[in-house]
Amino acid sequence: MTDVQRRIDALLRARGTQLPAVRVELARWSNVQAELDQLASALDALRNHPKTPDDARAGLVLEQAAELRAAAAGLVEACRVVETRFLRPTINLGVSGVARVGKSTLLQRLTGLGEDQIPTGSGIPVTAVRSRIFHSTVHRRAVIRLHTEQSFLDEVVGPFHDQLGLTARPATVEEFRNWTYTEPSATADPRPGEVEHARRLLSMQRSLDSYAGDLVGGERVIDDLTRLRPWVAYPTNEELNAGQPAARRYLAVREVRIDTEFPRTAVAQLGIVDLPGLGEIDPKAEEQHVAGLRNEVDAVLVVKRPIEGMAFWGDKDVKALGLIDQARGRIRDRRDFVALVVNRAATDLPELVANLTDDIRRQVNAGVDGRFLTVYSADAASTEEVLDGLLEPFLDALAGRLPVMDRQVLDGLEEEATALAARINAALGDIRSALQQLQRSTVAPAENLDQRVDRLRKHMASDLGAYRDELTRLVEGEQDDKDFVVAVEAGYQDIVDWVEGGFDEGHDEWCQEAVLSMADKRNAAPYAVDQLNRIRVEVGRRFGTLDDFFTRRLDAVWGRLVEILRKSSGDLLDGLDGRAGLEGLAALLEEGSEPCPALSQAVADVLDIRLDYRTLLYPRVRGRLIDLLNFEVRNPETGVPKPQITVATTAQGAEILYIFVTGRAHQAAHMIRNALLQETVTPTLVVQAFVEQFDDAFIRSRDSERDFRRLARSYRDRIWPGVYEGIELDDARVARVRRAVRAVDARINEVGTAEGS
Amino acid sequence: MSEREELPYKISMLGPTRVGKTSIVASMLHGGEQMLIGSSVTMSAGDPRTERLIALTVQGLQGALKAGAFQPESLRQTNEPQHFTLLLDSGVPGAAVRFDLLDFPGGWLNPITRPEGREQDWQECLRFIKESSVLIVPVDAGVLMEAALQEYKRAWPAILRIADVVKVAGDWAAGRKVAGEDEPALLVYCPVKCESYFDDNGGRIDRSEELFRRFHDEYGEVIDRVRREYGGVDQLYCPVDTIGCVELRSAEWIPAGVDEGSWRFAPTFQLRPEALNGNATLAPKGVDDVLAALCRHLMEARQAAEKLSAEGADSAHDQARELADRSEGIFRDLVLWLTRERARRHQAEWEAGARAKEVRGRVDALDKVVRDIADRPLGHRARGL
Repeated sequence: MTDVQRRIDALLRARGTQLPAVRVELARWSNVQAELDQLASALDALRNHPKTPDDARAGLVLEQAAELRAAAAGLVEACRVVETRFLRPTINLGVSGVARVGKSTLLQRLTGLGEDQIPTGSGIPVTAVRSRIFHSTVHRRAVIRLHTEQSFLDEVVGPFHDQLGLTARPATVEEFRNWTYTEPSATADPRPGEVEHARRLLSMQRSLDSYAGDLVGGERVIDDLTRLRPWVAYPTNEELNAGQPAARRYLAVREVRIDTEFPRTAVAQLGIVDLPGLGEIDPKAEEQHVAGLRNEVDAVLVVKRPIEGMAFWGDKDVKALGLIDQARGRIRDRRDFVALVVNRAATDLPELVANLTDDIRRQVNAGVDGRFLTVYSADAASTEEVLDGLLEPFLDALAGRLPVMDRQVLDGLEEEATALAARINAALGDIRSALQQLQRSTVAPAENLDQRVDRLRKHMASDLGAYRDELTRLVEGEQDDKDFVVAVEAGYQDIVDWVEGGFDEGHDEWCQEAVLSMADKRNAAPYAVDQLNRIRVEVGRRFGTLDDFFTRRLDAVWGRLVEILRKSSGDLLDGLDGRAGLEGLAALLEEGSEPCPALSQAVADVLDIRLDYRTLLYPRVRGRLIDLLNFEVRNPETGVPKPQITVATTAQGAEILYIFVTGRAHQAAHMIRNALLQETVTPTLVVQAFVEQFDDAFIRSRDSERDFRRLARSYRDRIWPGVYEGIELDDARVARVRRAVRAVDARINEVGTAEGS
Repeated sequence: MSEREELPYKISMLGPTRVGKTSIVASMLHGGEQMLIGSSVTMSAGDPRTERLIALTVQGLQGALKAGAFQPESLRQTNEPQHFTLLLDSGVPGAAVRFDLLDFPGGWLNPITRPEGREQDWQECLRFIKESSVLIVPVDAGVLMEAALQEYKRAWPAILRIADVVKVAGDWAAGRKVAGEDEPALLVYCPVKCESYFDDNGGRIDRSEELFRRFHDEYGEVIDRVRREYGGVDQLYCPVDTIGCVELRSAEWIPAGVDEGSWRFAPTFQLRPEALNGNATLAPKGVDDVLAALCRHLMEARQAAEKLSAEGADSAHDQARELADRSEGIFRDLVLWLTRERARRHQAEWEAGARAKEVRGRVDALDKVVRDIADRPLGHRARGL
């Protein structure tokens, strides 16, 4: 193993160990975003409350809320970029450069690939799709990720429409096929790029048939790399001049990953990323370039070529370097992230080589070689020069600097987080001051609040007690529950109708089926067993309709409780009823200025009542059902199992079996009906138990009195509207703001950053 | 007193219409016939009317069984008092026990529901009840066992006519006391249509304890009243299957009349699976216990009467005659019957030859049959109360 390899291995391990801390930061700032929203919303509610004094309103606002939120979002994005960096299992080198500088030739030499995978040419551009190429001793293949029709329209066609100022976009591929594009006219004085974009769009439209069938999404694996060219290369000049629309399958491709064994590399975990060419006509080229730099590469090689018209450091180069700087982010030394490659061929004119080299020295490095950028010189067509003169020294330098770059990335993240936390802390300080101002300008609680709370509690106790007594009378009076009886009888009648209708099939068909089955099995038992099982399932299922009754009963109980509570609680539960009413009360208890755990628990418990046939009643009747509908029964005296019935495998036997099965079904239905009706008091008993429990927990539990006072302090003005003037600091709205401030404060001051963990 | 000089053994049946009283009588006949197979004594319908009524009942039941499922209320019913006579006969004229059973409509117990213009008939019924030393109270087991709702249970007293039964049984027991402290009396409660509540006659579920508990809860007032009126009444609980090869399919409670809380019980029965293949034969159960109880009661009464009218004891004889005159029940009949029996024995002793020997044998056989049946231990279904 080479020294470079050892250092890269250590680096990748270190990245793995830093990943959890990065993820913690990512989650933290994602939460801060949401909590800032909640704080802003709580402030809005308090500021707009009619009883908030006017002079206190101005301070009740989160200054620069949008900016803080955007900064938090930026930090989240930065964390994601770092997460991506640390997740990569390879060191990725980006190769950048304008057209015709020999970038593809360089890539061929670095990766050992040829024209079919990385096409080159001296005329018009040939590389249509940029590949990511990874060194692999295991695979030699290309994985092509294809566009769907929609992503093609959104990501390929759409940007051209934008560039051409077309407000509408095709919604389907067919619409694109039939879209009318007008050729730019010289008389209309086209904007810069308009002609080129329009021509590109027209050629895409005309070639649609060549790639429309590939717009299917997903991945396609190509094991034979000699067949890759149509997916990654533009049409040749000959193809363009052939008179027919040229094939453009590359338009269906989102990206290509190639695995292949590199000719020589000091690092096994190496990837080469062909970055989109700068200055290309593609409207999204620059955006994609920066995104690719930021997310995919650890360092960039920018290729220059000393040929006529290009042998100098020009504006395009400055701009390209600017884009690379954008992506560099917190990496302080540009030399760590980017290097120049002068692609110098033996046939190049020496004066042009000198021109370019000198110009770079002057303009880029301020007259001193290597001052701001390292410059490598190699003939891209020469494998030895590329590997020995470029790749090896570059990787060697990179192995030394990557740990530094990673540290700078993390430090940058921490600095950004610290700065944002300071800004948020300042904003929180302002809000705390505003709350203090509010406190000074509001009235003190009235002294008689406690007496009012006691009266409220006694009223509720009395009404709940009356409801309890009512339920107790129902239980002790052993009154039949008429609604329950009706529900049971409906289930019973449903089964009787089903049985008398011949089990959905009718008597004749049932018997015919029985004869066929018995003939097939030479025995009546299997059919009888099936039918008894079917009846057992069906009887249980049809009585399951009792659940509708239970739902209604529970709704009624919850409704009654809400009615009782609403009677004494002002407008606190206005507009709420049944389960929603109790859930509303639970939310109010939760959002109050002080916790009310005893009352909250009482409400949660009563909301948790479950009444249903399967759990409450079925276990009580299951045994009888099984006993009756088992084909084999035990002799009560001997304990020996025997079939309930034996019949001949004839039509007459089927008839007897039908009589037996219908009889058993009737008996099962009747037996279950009676068992259920004898439980008629059970639903009431359960309800009574829960209401008693609620009454005890809500009114008589140890902390009930305390919680009632807390509830009253939170919602005094709603429980006794008009009795108290002004707003009190214990009001739930104030409490909500305080809670939101505390939440943001706790979050941004959490211990544990990417640096510290 | 019977002209045929058999011992008349009067039994009143006290229960609502449609409960299945005729079926009990038919079952007693069937059970008696089965018990006496192999002896020289026979059990038979005592008169053509009884024979016809029982035949009609059995025919109706068998017809229902052929249909596979039936509702008891669809079987033949009557609202007229019915007299049944079963004869336990030795074949010797006068040497027979005649079971006289009276089944009168349940509605007659209540003056409100008793039809107008039948007062004389009712008086005759009352006289018969007064002279009966045995009361059989049939109870519809289904009414007790299939009442799932409280409102059905609240309808029990009306359906089972509990208040009427309390009054009539109480008056009957009081009448036994007047007859004499030593005169035995028997009250048999007979839950009927019990096929679905026992597992000893083809059924698979034993709910007998629940049946007894429900019976006792509902008839406790009757039991107590009778006990208070006359402690000498032997009260017995004997659940009976009168058909045997059927089981309850379902039961409906149908509002009866305009009164709220007034219900009619309408069960449906079906053949047991093993009877579906054409093997539907009547298989009553529990009626043996009723017959055994009757014979035991008869033996006890006879022993008491014999003690009082011991042969050769003039004073005792006079005492017996006096008691017989005073008694309106079994004692009078027994004393008279025993007197005639002695006479027959005496005559047989004076007469020579095979005929006299045969007469003695048959009289002894009847004696023995009654004693044997009386000595049979009660089955597990029966309980003393």
